[in-house]
Amino acid sequence: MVAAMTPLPVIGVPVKGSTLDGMPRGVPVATVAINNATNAALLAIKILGAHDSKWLIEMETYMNNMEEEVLTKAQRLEAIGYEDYLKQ
Amino acid sequence: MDSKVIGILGGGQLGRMIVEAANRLNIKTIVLDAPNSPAKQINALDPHVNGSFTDPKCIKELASRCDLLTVEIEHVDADYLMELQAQTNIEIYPLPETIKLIQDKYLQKLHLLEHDIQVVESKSVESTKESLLTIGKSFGYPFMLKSRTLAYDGRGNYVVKSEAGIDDALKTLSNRPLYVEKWAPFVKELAVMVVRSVDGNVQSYPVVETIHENNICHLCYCPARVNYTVQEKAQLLARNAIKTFNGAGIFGVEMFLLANGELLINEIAPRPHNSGHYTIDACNISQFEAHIRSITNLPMPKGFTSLTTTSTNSIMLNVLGDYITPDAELEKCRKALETPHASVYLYGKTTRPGRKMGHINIVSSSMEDCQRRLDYIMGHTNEIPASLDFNKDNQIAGTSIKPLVGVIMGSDSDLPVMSKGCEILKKFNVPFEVTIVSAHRTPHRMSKYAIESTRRGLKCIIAGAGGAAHLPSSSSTTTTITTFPFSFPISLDLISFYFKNKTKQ
Repeated sequence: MVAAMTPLPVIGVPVKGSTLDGMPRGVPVATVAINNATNAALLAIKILGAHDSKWLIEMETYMNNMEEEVLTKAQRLEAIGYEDYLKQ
Repeated sequence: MDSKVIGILGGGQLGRMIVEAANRLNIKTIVLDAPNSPAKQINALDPHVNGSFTDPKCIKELASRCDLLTVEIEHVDADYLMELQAQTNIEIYPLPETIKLIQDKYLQKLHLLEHDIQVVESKSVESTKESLLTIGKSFGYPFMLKSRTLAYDGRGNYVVKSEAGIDDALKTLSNRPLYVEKWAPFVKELAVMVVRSVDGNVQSYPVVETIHENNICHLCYCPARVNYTVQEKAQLLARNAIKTFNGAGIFGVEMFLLANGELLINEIAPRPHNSGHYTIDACNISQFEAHIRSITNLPMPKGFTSLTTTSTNSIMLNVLGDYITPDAELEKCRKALETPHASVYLYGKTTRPGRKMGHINIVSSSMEDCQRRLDYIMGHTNEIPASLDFNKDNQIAGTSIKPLVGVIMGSDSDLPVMSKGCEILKKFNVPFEVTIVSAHRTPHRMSKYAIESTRRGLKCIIAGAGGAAHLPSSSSTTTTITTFPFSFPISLDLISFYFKNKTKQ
């Protein structure tokens, strides 16, 4: 109902156990996966970036760091093998 | 601006503040009252009329020099005003017949009842012991014995607590027409200012909560500390009541809030009202300017009665003549001058115990802050509250004063899930707020949140959807927009019943 009353973008986070059939045509709500408020927040920041580049730069940095994080993990996994990796 | 000259019957503090508002719009005013009355003191541009607003001769003289007449007090000679209007075609607002109707508090109540407006139960009564005993049997004790006419600031009211009090009541209110009101067991007294245009459009100011002491208004909190549903209902009731009176002008509508949430109109005043003084600082357009605009047919755009910002809070304190030491009340004014966010209005009167000498308006972004400032002015604390620093945002995560993102959920049970998103926003240093807004349990709060979101500077809203998923969107949105309870009284229970049924479909 908030989306019906404001022109601002509304991101819905379905909390486990809720029904999602109540989204009528004409009142768009962006949705993320069930319980995934993290993604909702990231999406909100991306929306902020559309009108203020400050948030675009922040988001770029975050995405870069995310790539770095995965690469570091991959490197470790390849180096010590999956069995030892799981034990840590 | 408008070249009309407005004649004001009555030159007390309300007249004084009407003159101030008129001056800012280059509108001339001439005042009829005793020499040197408060309204005359601040307007030396035009020669005023000395005399009484109940004297037809004086009213006639005033009318001969004006294009338009208005009143700052309802106890004028309404019959003569009707005659004058018929003879000279002069515009008079509020209409003389409206003034006459409201003058008699019992007729006022009958009129509202005829239009299905909820009022305190009232009965006309003869000034005899027998008739009051009969009333006592049917209404029970206590009940209110009231003078039908010429009553103000509690004068003309008597609380009859038991049979034993009847003699004294009749003695106190002797020689005047009386009526009785059933005792309304109220939990709060609320008031709404309503402005009505010449063509009958009404707009209401926010709902205020008034605190009376010795039957005189002492404090006025705006917005009233009641939930949004009660606020909406109170405004609706006030607007509906004023729709029933013809003519233009500002009206003060006082009402009782009962424990079960029911609202009953107590009294209506066809003029600016003490409970609307906060509008001078808390709204862009004061009740006095609204009155001027309405009677001179100047523009009154939709929403011109709203608070200056969505976070405006205000407390008005009446400055009453001290009961022990003359002029001791000025100490409060001095303290108000020392307090940031407070302003002082004095009426130019000589002090008398309990007399309305002036008022103080406190305006801030939270009621707690207003209260702190009031505590200093009242002498409850010696610490002067500092001015708010709006540049320094709140340090607690999710409580930003100027948020860009709003995180809302229908219940705190969604918080563990939603907090994951909050952590991200915190990590990015995004100013955000977190709150509970329930489509079912707080429908008015939700609509207020959504409607004001852009004005408050939000850029995006994250809404948690537990249970029926009605907060972010809803299968009933399309119908909800048109049927949402802005324009007719529908109880909270009804709304949730409606939604529950919708969900089942």
